[in-house]
Amino acid sequence: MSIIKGLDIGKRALMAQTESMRITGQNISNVNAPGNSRQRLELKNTLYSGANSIQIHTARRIRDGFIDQRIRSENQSLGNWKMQAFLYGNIEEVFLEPSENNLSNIMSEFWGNWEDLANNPENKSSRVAVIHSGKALATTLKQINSKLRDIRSMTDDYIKDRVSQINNIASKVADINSRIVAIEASGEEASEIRDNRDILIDQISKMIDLNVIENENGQKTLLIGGRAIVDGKRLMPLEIQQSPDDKMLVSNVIWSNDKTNVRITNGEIVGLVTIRDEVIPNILVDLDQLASTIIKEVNSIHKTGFGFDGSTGLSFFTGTDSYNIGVNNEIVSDINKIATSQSSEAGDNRIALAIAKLANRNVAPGDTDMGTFYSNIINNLGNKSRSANIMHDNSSMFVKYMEEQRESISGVSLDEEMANLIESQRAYESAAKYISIVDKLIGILIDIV
Amino acid sequence: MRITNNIIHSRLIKNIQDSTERLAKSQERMSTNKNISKPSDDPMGVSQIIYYQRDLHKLRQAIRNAENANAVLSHTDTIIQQVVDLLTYVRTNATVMATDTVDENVRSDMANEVDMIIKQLIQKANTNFGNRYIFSGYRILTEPYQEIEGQIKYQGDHGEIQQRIGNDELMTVNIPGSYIFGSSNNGLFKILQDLQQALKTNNRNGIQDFLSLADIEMNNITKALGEVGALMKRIDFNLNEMNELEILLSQQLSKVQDIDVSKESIEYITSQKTYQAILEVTSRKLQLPSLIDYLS
Repeated sequence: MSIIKGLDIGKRALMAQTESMRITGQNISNVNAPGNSRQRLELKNTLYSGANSIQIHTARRIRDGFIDQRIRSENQSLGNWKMQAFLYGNIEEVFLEPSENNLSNIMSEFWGNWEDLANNPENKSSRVAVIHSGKALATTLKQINSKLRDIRSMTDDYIKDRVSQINNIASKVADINSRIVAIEASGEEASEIRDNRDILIDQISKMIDLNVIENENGQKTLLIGGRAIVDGKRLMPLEIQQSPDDKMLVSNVIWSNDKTNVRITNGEIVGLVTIRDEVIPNILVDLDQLASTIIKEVNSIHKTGFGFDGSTGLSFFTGTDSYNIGVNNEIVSDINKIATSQSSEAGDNRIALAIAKLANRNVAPGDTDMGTFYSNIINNLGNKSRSANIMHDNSSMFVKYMEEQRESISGVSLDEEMANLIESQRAYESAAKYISIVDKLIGILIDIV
Repeated sequence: MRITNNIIHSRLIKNIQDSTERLAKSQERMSTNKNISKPSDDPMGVSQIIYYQRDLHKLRQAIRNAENANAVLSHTDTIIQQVVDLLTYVRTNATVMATDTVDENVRSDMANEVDMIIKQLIQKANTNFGNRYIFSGYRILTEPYQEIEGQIKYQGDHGEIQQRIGNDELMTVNIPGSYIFGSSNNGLFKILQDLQQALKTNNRNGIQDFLSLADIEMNNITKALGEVGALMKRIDFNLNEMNELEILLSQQLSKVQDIDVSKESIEYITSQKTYQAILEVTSRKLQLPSLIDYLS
């Protein structure tokens, strides 16, 4: 081996340790950066004229793609349950349970007021009370209906927002895809941009169920429902198509280029769609059934009864469901038209008694009484909400655990970097020493000649 | 497992958050006094609360109904009692009038008295209690008795007014006037009118007839009085039961929906202490030296 070659070896050693310290410095400065994967110096041995030496060193990104996959997969469920838990919470608030101002008590008060009226049909304040509580009942039903529809509308807005975010982020991924090709053409690993891309993909994975495929030139293809939204540097975006449904416009997610439906099976969007198209409509159906039962039953008795002024055949409630239930204006403006009597005699309270007795009769769907029907709605809601919350907590815990695993592999430990730094420093000093010795030897040689 | 700075940091944060959440929940329960703030906290519990609330409402309404009925019946009772007294008075006097120890002048005076008593009885029959005539059956806005062409006619009907007294029990709470006072050609008023006539015309036989007829009426009226009394007893019995049941239901409702103050206080203090402990541990951990401090 020629001694000049020794210089070369020394020089390469210096470069390697410099690079090592550079990487350490980078890791330290990025310790807090979200999604950052640490880098390590990868030293590759090559054959060099029969002797091994440090030849090629690159910075390698420490990242476990399998864990990323697991996290993304679980993120979808997390997103799904998170949205459901959140919206279930909103829905629960609408009902004000448990409390004294709940629909159940308002109903009880209504039936009770009919009994007061039965006790004293000649009493004006009893009549006023019946009107009052009848209105309260109607108003409460309408309010619940209206608030549920508001939540449904808000849910739809969230869907629109998520689609817009997905498109946004996907376009950034496409952009990074193209830049990675350019950078890695020179043999370097584009570590930071890859980290960025992974962060972006994580973000999308919460919102929708995504499949990620990496190809050999470093590009990642993103697929939703089997179709690509990002392919290399190309973006095939999603779009919103609105259609009317039950007094509002609902958003459908379609592919922008051919307007077909996007096949979505998990993620926040699925959670939102579940709430918008299943949960809330089901509750509205139940609420409507409750309202229509009240309207139908009260009216059918009330119509056969006589008011104090002799009028008969009047409805007490107007409307057909919880959206439009109201108290008959004719009765509101003349309370003597409230029918209490069966025979048209003033003291005959049998109609009032019959209406009051509706509270106990099994006139609601499923052969139950109205109070139990309502209580079942609440019970159902509570159980489902509780489940969603538990599922959310579980998903959340699992994702955190996986993220910790990822952090354990890819994260920076300052103590570790410090130790590496010392090691690199010593190695550098040794290499420098080596060079200076070789240099001296060369000098001796030159002097001899 | 390889531990990095971020792992330590995020675990510390999570611990603080968990502890804060527990503390916040306890604070909410303490300040609202409610165990359950929404259905998902305890779906079963909320069902129970709704159930108890409904039962209490129904019960309290029944108590109101019962107290209302009691008031009317009590008044009815008083009036009927007074009718009995008046009838007794007349009968006693009539016994004397039937004898020959009195002359027609005395009888004539008695006739006037009977006339006044009839008018009194009409007033009592037409008692108005809280805006309704209690002896008119269903026709509560119509005076039960009117004098038409010399006859005292019953203008009411035989409607039996019912109310819910007790959980599902309906009870009749009125007596149509005709059961007590009769109408037109029958009953109390008729025999008194006849008596008055007999006294005016000095008809000793007529007066004699009155005596046995009065006994029949007295029987009727006392029977009615007995029924009223029985109704009132039943209502009192129900009221007692219902009042006890109300206390029981209220307690059960409270058990489900209100916090157990001593238990919750302990939980509150515990979560506070836990929170403080975690803060302490966190601050210690954040101040621990790292390798950097040991390298010169």
